[in-house]
Amino acid sequence: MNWSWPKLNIRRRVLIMVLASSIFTFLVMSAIGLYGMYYTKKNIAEQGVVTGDISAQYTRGVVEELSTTSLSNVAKARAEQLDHELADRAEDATLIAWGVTEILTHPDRFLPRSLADPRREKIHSGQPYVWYAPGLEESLTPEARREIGLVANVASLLIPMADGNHERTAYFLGSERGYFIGVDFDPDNEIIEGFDTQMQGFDPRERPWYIRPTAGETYTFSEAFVGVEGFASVTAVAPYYDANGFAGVVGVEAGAEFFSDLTTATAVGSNGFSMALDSQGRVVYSPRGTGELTPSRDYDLRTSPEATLAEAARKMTGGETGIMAVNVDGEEYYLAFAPMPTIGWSFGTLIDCREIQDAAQESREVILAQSGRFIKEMRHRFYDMLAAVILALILLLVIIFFLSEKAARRFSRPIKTLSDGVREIAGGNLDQKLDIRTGDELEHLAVCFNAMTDELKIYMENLTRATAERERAEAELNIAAAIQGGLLPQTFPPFPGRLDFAIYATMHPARDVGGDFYDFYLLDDKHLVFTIADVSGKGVGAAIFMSRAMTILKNFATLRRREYDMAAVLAAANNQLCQGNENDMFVTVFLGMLDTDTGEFTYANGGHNPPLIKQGEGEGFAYMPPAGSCMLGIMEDVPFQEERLLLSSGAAVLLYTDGVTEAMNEEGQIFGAEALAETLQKTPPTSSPEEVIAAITKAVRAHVGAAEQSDDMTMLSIEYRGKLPQ
Amino acid sequence: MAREGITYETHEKNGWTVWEIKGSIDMTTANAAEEKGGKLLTDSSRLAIDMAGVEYLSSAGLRILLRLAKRAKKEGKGFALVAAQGMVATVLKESRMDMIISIVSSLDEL
Repeated sequence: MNWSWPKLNIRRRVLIMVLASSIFTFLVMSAIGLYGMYYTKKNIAEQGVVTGDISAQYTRGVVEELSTTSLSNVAKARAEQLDHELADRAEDATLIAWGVTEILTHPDRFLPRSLADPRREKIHSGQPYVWYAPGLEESLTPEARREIGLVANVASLLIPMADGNHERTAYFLGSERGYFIGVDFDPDNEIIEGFDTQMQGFDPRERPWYIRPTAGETYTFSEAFVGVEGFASVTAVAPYYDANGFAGVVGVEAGAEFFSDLTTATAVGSNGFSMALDSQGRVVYSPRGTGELTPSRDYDLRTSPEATLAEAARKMTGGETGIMAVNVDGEEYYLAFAPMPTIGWSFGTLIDCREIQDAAQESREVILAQSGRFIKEMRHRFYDMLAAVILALILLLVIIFFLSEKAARRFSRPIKTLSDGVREIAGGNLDQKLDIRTGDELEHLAVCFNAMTDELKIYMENLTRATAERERAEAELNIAAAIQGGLLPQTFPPFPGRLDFAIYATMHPARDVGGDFYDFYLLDDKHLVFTIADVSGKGVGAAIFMSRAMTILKNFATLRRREYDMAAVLAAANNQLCQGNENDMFVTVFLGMLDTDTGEFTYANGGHNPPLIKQGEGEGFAYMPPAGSCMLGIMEDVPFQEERLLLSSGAAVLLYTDGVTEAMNEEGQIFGAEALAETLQKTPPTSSPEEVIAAITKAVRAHVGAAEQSDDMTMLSIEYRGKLPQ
Repeated sequence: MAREGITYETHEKNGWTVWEIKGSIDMTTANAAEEKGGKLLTDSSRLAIDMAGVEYLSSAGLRILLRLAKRAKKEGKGFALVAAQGMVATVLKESRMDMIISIVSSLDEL
């Protein structure tokens, strides 16, 4: 896949990279965090349910345990309390029986006393009274009457004993003789009612509580079933004796109050109830009117077809303490039981299983509701937290964005500084220094760049200097060229109207400017002076020396014009030029003078190349003899020779410098003196000086080709046409 | 225009330090030739330049020869050009250098 970065600057790239990696990391962390949160939430929710269940189970167990334990405790405590009450009554009965026995065995210590007779008067609560079995009063012996009067003294024992007793109860005794002495206590009624109805035909000796003692028993209890008052009751019974033995029993009734205690105080739960089982397994008391647990004289619960009940009854009659689940008439109950040793009963209290289970269920529901609320709360919290986290994430993203932006800017700043600096340098400010102190590759780059700038600066300075040098040299050359070119006569024809001769000259300066010059002037009407010269060296020095030489030559030629002596002119010029010639410059000079009238050609050659000459019409060009003198400027007072020729009409002279004969081609071959001569031979005899020079120039150029001209190339040509007829 | 540089060799002959120049004496070699010649002239009392191997003598070269000759004359030392050939001989002849410098055709004439 060919994928490339879009064209972004570094800052953006860094930004994108930092952002991308940050966001990627961030998103991954967020995803993990969110998943973790979600997972935790889910887990907590599930765990909440499980915990709810478990704690509900546990609570149920605890509740059941607590219920049954408390039931057991209740049964035990209640059994003890009731047993204690019965024991109190038995003690009371025993104490009273002892008192009656004392009276009967020591009749002499007591005075007879009379008691109220309910048949004749109202009996108040707490008032002792006497009752006789039917037909007894009529048949009483005086002895018996006296005994009743004595026994009546027991009332003084009964009253304090019952004092402070706020229960409905009765203390009484029944004599073997058939009389009955009792005190009834009724906290609700001042007058004891019911004697005329309930006591009809009442014979104490026939009452269920009238139990004759067996084998020295101090007390016993009557069977507890519904008494004469219609209330369930149990009576503590103690026998008393006279001198002859058993004389009757004392009874202390535990009546309605006792059983109501049994009923109400011990009931646990709305469907709970209590019961008492006697030693024969009979239900002595229970609030049930029907079913297995109905109080009955005839039914032994131990024989119940319901196994749990039979088992419980056996344990109860066995005097055990315990709790167990029983089925009562198809309903499940917990039965807690404990013995009442005084009376030989077992007290049992029952609670509906469903109530315990309901309680457990209730607690379970409470717990489940609680954990449900917790889970709901959790969920709320979770979503709140989720919102907060998402908000925080967005905030963090924004912060990351800004931080990344800042980081990218910070990262790219040195690069920008670098590029700005580079641009400044590129703009030409080489003094600009890059100041980057990042300590990394950028700083290194900046240092390298500064070094490069320094080198560039040095290079530029050198280049500037070299350029200035070159320009200076160039300017020098220009000056030299100007000097050279400005001095030379360049107007052709120079002497319009003179038809007796023609003159033409050119000078092609080399780039370096040699010191060639030519000159011509009329000394008078008929004397034409012409010269060609070549100064050694190049440049301004040569040009100046050339201008000096040219001026000096013309000056002396003009000064000595009367002498018409070219050798003298050169000698004078030489001496002049030798003075102050520190640079040892010299100049080769050919100086000629033509008498235009006569055709006499006078010349002197100071070391210059021999010119070519055609002495008259019809003749060819030939080299003149070599110079007779050396060049000017080297040595003073050297001799100069003057030569003379006579030219006829049609004669011509070509003066040239070595720039012509020594013009080199690219192979280093010079044009040469012979080639020059040949070129002249080929020019038509009628050629003008200008045409002659043009032909030579053309030939030289053809030879040189593309090679650079190394020396000035100067030519001067004169044609003598002879004196014209006036 | 590329030209081979000149080569220089020296030897002694009849009490003369003979300096053999080969190649061209022109603008491009003139300074080096002057320097070398100057040294040789300092070290010896008589300097002869063997021109047999010189192919080209420009006016710049001529100037060097003249300068050396002038210095030798000033210092009272011997200076001569020997065995110039061809174009060089022509130049020397046409410029009448013989009027200033002793020019001989062979080393034997020294």
